[in-house]
Formats: sequence, structure tokens, C-alpha cells
Amino acid sequence: MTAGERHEDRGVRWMLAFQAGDDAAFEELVREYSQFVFALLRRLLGPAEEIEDLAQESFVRLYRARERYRPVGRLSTFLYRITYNLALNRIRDRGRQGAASLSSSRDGAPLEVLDPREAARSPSDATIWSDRVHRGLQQLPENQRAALVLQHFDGFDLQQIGDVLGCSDKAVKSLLHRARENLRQILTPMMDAEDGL
Amino acid sequence: MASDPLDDLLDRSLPEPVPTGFAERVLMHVRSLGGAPAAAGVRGRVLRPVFGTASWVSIAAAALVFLGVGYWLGRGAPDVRDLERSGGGAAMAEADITGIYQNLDVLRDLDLAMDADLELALADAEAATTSLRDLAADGTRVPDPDPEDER
Repeated sequence: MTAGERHEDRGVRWMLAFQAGDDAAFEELVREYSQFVFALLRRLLGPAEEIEDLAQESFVRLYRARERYRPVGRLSTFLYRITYNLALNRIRDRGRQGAASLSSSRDGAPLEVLDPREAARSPSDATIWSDRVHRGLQQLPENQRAALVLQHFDGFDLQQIGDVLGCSDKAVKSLLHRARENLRQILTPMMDAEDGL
Repeated sequence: MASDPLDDLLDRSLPEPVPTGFAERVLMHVRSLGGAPAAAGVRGRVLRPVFGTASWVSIAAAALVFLGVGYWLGRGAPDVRDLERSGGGAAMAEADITGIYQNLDVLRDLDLAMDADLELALADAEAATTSLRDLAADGTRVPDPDPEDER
């Protein structure tokens, strides 16, 4: 039995098999993690046209890392770090191009509270609420947004989030606290308006 | 512990659907990159024992030193017969050797300066964005994580 076969993380097992020459393992890996990469990019970037290009680039970079890869930690942490870096570059490009949307807000910048009247006008179905949550997330600074997304949607703990974002557990804890406070401030009026209907 | 109502809100966010054929497009892309990955791996393994993990700057500097010494030993060295005739062979040879060592210092300084710049750039994501963009033609800015550094 090889070290790869023994590893508890399925992604790591696939990556090691791919490293050993099994190209089919890389295919399995792409199919398994595509959903997670797309979801992460969507929540970090909002409804962007380039999501598929960036998702593809994430896997290409994983492919290129094959030789240097070492089976430490979960593969998803490594793949998410690649994806997060790509998303961060995209966000910075947007800022430089002057097309800074709500997603470019920084710490300390005023948050735009979503208009409660919109809740009164709109049917409260899953799609519309999903859109509101996405728009709320876009208003958070990118590091707060990423920390919250990784914690809530991917179940990452403080250390894993720190591995992806490149910061300490303590910093992650602070980011999560501020992210939740800010998002609550953005979304609560929508909830109140809906409750009042 | 009571659940945060914010988590209930976040749960309303629907996942992004993966477009049909995405995996096939990724696989097609990596196949089109050219050069079988196995061949690249073999190449890396063959060269690693020779060069270790030295940067290209160090390798280039070492190559320059070898070339310089080779040139001096070949065309650049004074003719031994001239040295014998002039009687000043030892002094001339010493001057030339000093020159070579001065060049070595210059090369070492250059190497260190460039490495320091790179290290400084890599230590800060924002600085890396600028410096690596200047260095890399493909526009890569925030560098990929090093798999060997993963915890």
C-alpha cells in the first residue's frame, strides 16, 4: 500500500495518483472539485462572466503543480488558495480599471444597506434571496468575504481559512467577526421588511 | 448554542452550477499545454541533482564566472613566453588574478541584490503583484502557493 492510498483525504489520494502518472485521477479530481471552485468564485466575485475562465485556470495551475506537490493537509485547502489568489487578482484588476463595483469596498468604507423597499416589491423566493445574499457578500472587503464563505459554505476551521488567506488564526477570527457584523448590517433591513409584509 | 440567524440567511445562497462540459474543457486545456507532464517530471528529476534548488540567477552567475575563467585561461591569459621574457610574469599574473576576484565580487553583489529584491517582493503580496508582473511575461501576479509549504 502506498502513502497515497493510505491518505484519508480523497483529493490527496487522487493528486498522488496523478503525480505517479495516473491521468485519470486528475480527471476525477476536476469532476469532484469543480462545484466547490465555481461556488467559491461566484461568492467571491459575484455574477462575473470570467468565472469559468478562472475556474479553469485554477485547475491548470493545480495540474502544473503536480511535480512539486507534497501531501500535507487537505487538497481543497491548496486548491482554494490557488483559486482565492486568482480571484484576488481579478478583484484588484477591477479596482485598477476603475470599474470598481460594490465588491471593491475596503475596511472602513461605508456599507450600502440594501433597500428594504426591494423586499416589499419582490417575491421572497429562493432565487431572489440567493441574489440578495450574493450582493450582500459583494459589499464586504474581499478578505472578510473569503473568510466567511470558507467558514460557512466549506466548513473550514480557523487554521484552514488562515492557510488559504495567508494569515493567522487570530486574524481570521477577527475577519469573521467583522464580516458577520457587516453582513448583518446590510441584510437585516431586508429581513425586517420581509417580516413586516 | 443558538444558531446565528445570519447563517440561515447565508444558506439561502444557491450554489453556482458548473457549466456542462467544464471538466472536458479543463482536460482539453491541460492536454493542449504541450509536453507530457511525465516528461516534464523526468526532466525536473534529472536536473535537480545537478542544480539543486539554486535560482536561475545563481546558475547564470556561476556560468558567467566559468566563462570568464575559461576566457582568461584561453585567449585572455598573457602568453607564458612573454611573461618569461619580461621577467614580470608573477606580478602580471597576480594582477590578473586580482581582477578576476574583483569580478567575482561584482557577480556576487549582483546575485545577492537580485535575490534580495525577489525575496522582498515575495514577502508581500502587493509588492509581489508589481514585481512579478514586471518579471513574468504571462502576467501572473500573486504567486501560487508552494505545495511544499502546505501545512
